[in-house]
This record gives sequence, C-alpha cells and structure tokens, in this order.
Amino acid sequence: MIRKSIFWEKHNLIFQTVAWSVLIIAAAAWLTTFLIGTLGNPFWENSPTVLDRAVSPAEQKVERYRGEWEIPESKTSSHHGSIGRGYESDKWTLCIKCHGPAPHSRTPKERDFLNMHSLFMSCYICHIREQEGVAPARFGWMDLASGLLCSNPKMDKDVWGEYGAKIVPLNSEKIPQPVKLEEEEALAVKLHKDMEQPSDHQKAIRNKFIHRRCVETPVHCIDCHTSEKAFLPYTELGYTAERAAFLVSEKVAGFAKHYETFYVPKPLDTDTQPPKATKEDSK
Amino acid sequence: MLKKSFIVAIILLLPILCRFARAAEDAAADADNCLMCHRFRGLASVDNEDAYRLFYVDEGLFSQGPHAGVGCKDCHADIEKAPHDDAKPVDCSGCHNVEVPTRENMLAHEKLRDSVHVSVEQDGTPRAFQEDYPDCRDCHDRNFIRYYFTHGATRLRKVRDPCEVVGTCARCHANKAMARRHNLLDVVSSYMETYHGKAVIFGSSKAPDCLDCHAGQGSVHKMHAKMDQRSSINPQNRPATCSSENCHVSASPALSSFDVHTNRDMATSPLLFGVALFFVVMTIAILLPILTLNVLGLVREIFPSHEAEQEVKRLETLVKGKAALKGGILRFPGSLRLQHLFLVIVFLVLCLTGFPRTFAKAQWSPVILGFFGGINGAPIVHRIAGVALLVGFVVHIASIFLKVRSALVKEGKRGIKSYVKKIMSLPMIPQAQDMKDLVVLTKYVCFLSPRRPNYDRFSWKEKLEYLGLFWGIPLLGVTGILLWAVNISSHVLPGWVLNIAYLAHIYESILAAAHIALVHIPSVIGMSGLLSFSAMLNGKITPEVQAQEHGREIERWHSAEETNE
Repeated sequence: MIRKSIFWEKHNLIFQTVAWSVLIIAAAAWLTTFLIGTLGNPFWENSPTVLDRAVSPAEQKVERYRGEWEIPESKTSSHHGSIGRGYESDKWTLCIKCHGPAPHSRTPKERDFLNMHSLFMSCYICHIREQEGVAPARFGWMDLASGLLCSNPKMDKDVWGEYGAKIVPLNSEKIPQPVKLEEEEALAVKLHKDMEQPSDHQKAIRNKFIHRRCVETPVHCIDCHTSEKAFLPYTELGYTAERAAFLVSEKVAGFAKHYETFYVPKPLDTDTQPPKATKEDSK
Repeated sequence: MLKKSFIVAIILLLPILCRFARAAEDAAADADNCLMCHRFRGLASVDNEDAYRLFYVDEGLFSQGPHAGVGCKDCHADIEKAPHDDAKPVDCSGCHNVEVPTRENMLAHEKLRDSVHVSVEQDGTPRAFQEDYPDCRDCHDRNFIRYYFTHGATRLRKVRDPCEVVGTCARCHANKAMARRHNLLDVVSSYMETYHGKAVIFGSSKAPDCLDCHAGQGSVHKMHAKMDQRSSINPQNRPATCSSENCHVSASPALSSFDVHTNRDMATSPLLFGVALFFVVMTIAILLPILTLNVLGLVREIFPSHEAEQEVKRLETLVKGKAALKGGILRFPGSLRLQHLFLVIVFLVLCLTGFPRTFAKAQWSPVILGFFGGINGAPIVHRIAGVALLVGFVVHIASIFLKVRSALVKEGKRGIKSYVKKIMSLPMIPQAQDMKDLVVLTKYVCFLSPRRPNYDRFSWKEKLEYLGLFWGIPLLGVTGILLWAVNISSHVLPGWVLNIAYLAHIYESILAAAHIALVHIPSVIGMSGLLSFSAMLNGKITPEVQAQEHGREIERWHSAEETNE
C-alpha cells in the first residue's frame, strides 16, 4: 500500500509532520543565512585555514607537546629547528609542577644550557638535599612513566638526553627509591587548592617550607664535568665508557667552566633583596 | 686497459666517496661543535618576554636542507664564543644580496630595494608600519627553498608548489588588521574564490599562484604596487600578464578586465553586488513561500477538513475502476521517464563535480572531487555532463515542437499564431487556473477555507519546476560555456562579464539544487504520506495519489467518459 491511509494514525502523522517541518525549516534557515552571508563577504572566511588543509601534511602547523606546555610550532617540520615530536614530561619532580620544564630563566647565557639538563636529570640532584648538609651519594634512573626506580636505559648512539627516564638521587632506604618530597608536595597541593588568600607573611612561611630542602649552593657544572671525581657516577648509571669519558673531557669540562654564575632560587630569599649570585663570573 | 680499470674503480667507489664528501660537508657545517649542545631537545628557555624559545637543531633535517654546507657561524655571525648570549636574528642578505646573479654565484639576486615589500621608499624614506614589511625569512622559511634544485630551477621553469606560494603570501595578506593599515583589499579570500584559487586548494600544481600575476616575467623581488606602471598588474600591463606563456595565450586583451580580487561588496564592486543581490532575492523569494506552504500543508494534514476528506474519497471512488482495469493509473509514458532519468543522472553528476569546487572549504569537497579525478578530472566530467544536459534540453524542446507540429497538421492548422496557441495550451504551461489553485491552497493550509484544491494533470508546483528548467539550463549552460572557453569568450565579451557569469553560475546552481533538495524530493518521497515517485519508475500511480494530487484530472476523465457514453 503506497499511501498507508488517508487518515493516518494521528501520532504517526504528527511525527512525520514535525520531522519534515523541522528539516525544512532548518534547511531553509541555513540557506537564507548562507545566501545573505555571501553578499559583501567572500564565501570563505579564515582562508589561511583552508590553505593549511591543502598544504602537504609536512607543512601543517601543529600544536606540539613540549614538556608541560602546549607550544604552537609555526615552523615547518622540514626546518632544522623543528622539534619533530614532544619528549616525555616529568610528572614526578615537584619543582617542575610550579617552575615548568624550563625553570632556569635568569641569565640568558646559561638558562638554555641548564634547562637542557632537565631533560635527563631531576632538579633534585643539584638543588635538593634529603638530609641537610648531606650530598646524595646514590643515584639511579627514574622511569618517567611510573616514577619508580628503573634499570639503566639503553642509550642509542644518536639519542641525546631522551631515554624515557631521568637521573634521580635515591633515598636512604634499604631498597632505595627516588627521593620524594612528599610533605612539601602535600603543602604545595594544599596551597594550590587553598581558596583563602594568605597574607604575604604566610606565603613566605609556606614557600620556605616547600623549599626547605633546597640548597643555597647547587651542584655546579664543573662538579660533574670534571676528570677529578665527578659528582655523578656515569658508568654506574649506564653511560658507555666512551660517553662517560667525553662528559669529563676537557672539551666539555672546559666549556662547563664558563658556567659559573648561579642564582639562589627566589623563594629562599625571604627579604626583597635582588638575586644573590653564589659565585661571580670570573670574567 | 689500466685507464678503464681506473674508471670502473672510481665508479664503484663513488658512493663511498660521496659519503665521505657528505660527512666532510656536515663536519664543515658544525666546525664549532655547536651541536654538542644544540642537539638536545631540551635546550630551551622562557625569554624575558615570556616566550618559550627552543634552540634545538635537528641534525638530520639540517643536513638535508639547502644550507647543509653552510657553517652555523656563517649565518649566526655575531656568535664569537661558546657559551654565548642570545644571538641576533639572521640577516640573509649577508649572502643573498649580491648585485646581479653571476656564473660564480647563481643563487645571488639583486638586493630588495625597489619593491612594494621593502620597508623604505626608493629615496630611503621609511614607510609607515615598518614592522609589517617582510624580511627574507618571512617568505623563504618554507619548503620551497628546501632543495637547492627547486630554488635554483625555479628560475628556469616553475617547480614551486602554488599552494606554498599562496600560503606564504597569505601569512601576511590574510591578516585583516595589516590589510587595513596599508589600505589593501582582502586579496587572499577573493583569490581563493576564483577558479585559480580553488584549483590551488585542491592541490593543482598548474594553477596560477600570486607570483604568476604579481611578479610577472621579472624577479619576484621586483613586485610593484598596482598603479605603478612597472607593475605586471598595472592596467596597461595586465593584458600581457594574462596572456603570458602557459596562461591565457590566445585570449583577447579584453580578458584583463576580469577582476581576480573581487567580492560582492556594495562599496567596491557595486555591479557584482547587484547581480548577487538579484540571485539571493530570487532564490529566497521562490523557495521560502513554497516551503512555508509545504510546512503549513503538513500541519493541515493532521487536521484535514471534513469536506476535503469527503472530496478525496469521492474522487478515489471515481478513479478506482479505471485503475483496476489497467493495474494503476499511467502518469508518465516511457519516453518522459527516460528523459527524467537522464536529467537525474546528469544533474547528479553536475552537482557532484560542481559543488565541491563551489564549497572548496568544506571537508567533504576533496573526497567527492576525488571520485571524479580531482581538480584535473572533475572539471572535464562537469563539462561533459553540462554539454549532455544542453543536448538533452534541445532534444526535449525539439520533441515538443514536433508533437505540436504533428498535432497542427492533423488539425489542418498553420501559422505562427496556431503554434503559439497550441504551445500555450500544453498541460505544462501555467494557466490562470493555477493562480486560483494557489489561492485555494493558501486558504486551505491557513485554515481559512475547508476546500482543498484539485489539480489537473500538472499542479502549479510541477509547472513551476518545469519552467524553472527553461530558465536554469540556458543560464547555467551559457555561463558555463563562457567560463569554460574563457579565451574565446574574451574575444566576444569583456573580462568583467565573466565575473558576472561566474556569480550567476554559482547562484543559479545553488537555487536549482536547493529547489530539488527542499521542494521536489520531499514532495515525491512522501512528505505528505504520498509516495508518488513510482510515477517515474513504472510510470503509474495509485488511485489514492491521483485523487489527492490530481482530482480535477479525474473529473475531466469522468466527464469525458460520460460524454462518450
């Protein structure tokens, strides 16, 4: 039966009527808006977006994940400055949660180089002492996925600093694990969530607590890049003899000697004095 | 013999020698061991302006680039020691500013000093908004200089990708704020709307890009303002630019009046605004009243008048006997169904090959166009379908005339008046009764009258659709041919007419497609509960459909039968 009934069941008819009406009204409204919109303006807005789609995928602008931040990368992937891919972020080191993956920012000459080390070294190695005045003696690799101690990563020839793990100081437990700043982190989380506005004095006290295990004199470049007795045991950490030798060679050590100006992290300054250099640049 | 062995040995060792040469080149590029630090992806910082800056260098990409043999310090000349402070931006003119290309330095070109893109006037006066003017890297930081070959060979023939060129120019020229500052038009959007721009969007490598018109035959660095007599787009030079090699060689100079960067703005393009307004008003004026009547008609279906129901029942009873005898009521003979099928196929092909280009921005456009061979194949299919439609249209008109002629011969009538009279009496020609039917329908759907209109063989809607073809097909056909044979068209009509033809073609096709999609298809697939599309499948409809849609025809049959009896 082609026409089901002249007098359809009412509910069926109502459904059909409403469905068609909505469809027709929506289509008519869209068409009218579209047609009126073509007057005076081009059919296409945001034409570069259209172009981007048409440009080969290698040319497309991408939002790449670099550490903690989404950074728009406008350069093409063929440019030698293109990062190509994001590296695995460190979700376990407390410092990064506030200071970001590029925490060094004071001295233009040094900040990039120091930040580069945060790719494969925990901030705790240079800036934290688990027990006051006691430099860490045991080091290991922390798996960036789990935050737990892991075996030494495989270091391929052309991989520089990206091993999916970071060098961390180990705690003094029998079965050592990466040092954790649990109390500090708990307070930091509380501070972050705290809706009440603390006074400057309260802020200073809390900051001081969070940074209580920070050292005023961090580990220097030359402490690690020295042929005398390097702070980090490279071979124990899985570095090949060749690469370990390179890290303490004159080529690197001589270079590291230029990095001698270090600033104390600001939260440790309870007064409003300008940043204090622990060791002035010899030049 | 010894000489031959030596040559063979050299050939065999060539790959190894090349590898060594490459290694030596790489080593030369990083003689200062910059990669010792710069090969780490983490070499980054937040600068004093809170911008995250990355100083990583991908060794592999660098060694494949055009500057693989260039040392870091050759570009970053201000860096004298490591570690170093922030380096200054690279000044490309350190290498690329030699006066004239020479045999020794093929990549050199004249320094930018006489172009619209230079931030100073020829006499050295700084131009306003200095920061808007591009430096070398604004244009040359893309793939099209990635390869030495591409860069050098572009001087010999076009090897650059138009999309990259347009994208490069769009990076500045699509910036509306910048365009306003420099009193420029929205040239990117308008270009993207032309056939040139759409071809670029769909990845054509042959489509003309910005440089093809604006750089003319000279260096791309000698780009001048439109009103500068040296400019390739100056009104005096445009004919030569349009008819340059690989472009519209056989076109008349009149083609140059075609406005590439036009839009439908009342202030800048009043003529095109008027044309667009005409089509917009016409489309809305035709479709909206019909759609309104259809929606109101749907509502009335829920609450039909008693009189209308009784009338339909009566008509159905009258026609049931006729239908029972013939297994349905024949509505369309085979020849008409064949013509309709032909029209459906051609229309679909035209829509599928045309609309993706009209709506080039849409995500579905490249997918659909891909089925027809992309931007190179689809236009050919579109033109073939267009020609087929025109031929079919002519055949249809010819068949009508032949039928009219044979009818007049039978009746023994002659003369133009007889032809006109006969044609005007054809069932598809609107009559005064159609207007009355429209009034009756309007009253009925607005609940102002209980009387439902009874249509004859064709209702006013069907007549309107049919006559629409006599407006749409010639219009689309003529404008389509003008745009297709653009070089020949330019010998008959000025270029600006093609701007109108282009607009008319697009707007008319939208009207046609919208009418089919919103009015025709819903009415035949059962919007009102009537499935009448069988009329175009087996040619027959049911007594119910006949009674609902063509009641007056039933009465005509009935009175004819009574007369015969």
